[in-house]
Amino acid sequence: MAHIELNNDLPGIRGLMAYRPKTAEPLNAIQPDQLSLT
Amino acid sequence: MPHINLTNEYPGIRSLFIYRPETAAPMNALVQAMLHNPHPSLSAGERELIATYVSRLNTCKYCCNIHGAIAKHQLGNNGDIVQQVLADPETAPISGKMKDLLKIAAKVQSGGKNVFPEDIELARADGASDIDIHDAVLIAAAFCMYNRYVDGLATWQPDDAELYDKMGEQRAREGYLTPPFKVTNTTESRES
Repeated sequence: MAHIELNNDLPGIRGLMAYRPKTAEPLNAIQPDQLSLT
Repeated sequence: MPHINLTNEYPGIRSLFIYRPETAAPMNALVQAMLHNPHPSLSAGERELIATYVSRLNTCKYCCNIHGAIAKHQLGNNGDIVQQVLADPETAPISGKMKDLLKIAAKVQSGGKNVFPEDIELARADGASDIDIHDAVLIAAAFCMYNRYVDGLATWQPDDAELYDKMGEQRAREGYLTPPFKVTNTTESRES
């Protein structure tokens, strides 16, 4: 069980991202598939 | 000297951000969201203290100095609080909630699984909201990334307290998304 109430059933970082969209947005953008890395 | 040729003269993470803009944008947006943007119950200064403390635990000179300077300016130009938190959060003039959050941050720095339910209960008893706990953990985790990024490429990290203070004043006022000012990287400052 998560240390805080995330109000969703998503696993791992997805649960955290759904809980806190303001920090999820840049965190999501760090994902390689979101970056135009060459 | 940095491990790779960064082709610019900026210090610390700024040299990496200029070298690799594709990864800089989301990393900078993350720090802006975590530390500078409005927060329901933690001041910018309090969030900067968490970033500063974790950077010290990771012995990242650049991050500890720059965020310590930003914290100072966010806390009404009070550098004593920053130094006292770095020396020992338990005896520093900060709230019980902040002491609990710094304890959680230190545990995240040593490994996420080291955070136990009793750490969370203690923070809650001192008034921490779930958002406070979430953000303290995220700031600690993210700064482990930033600290390792800055040290893992051996970026230039000046030993100039006045310079950090000036850069910190800019970030406290403007946030993270404005361009950094040019720093003169003289041979003298490289050797100091």
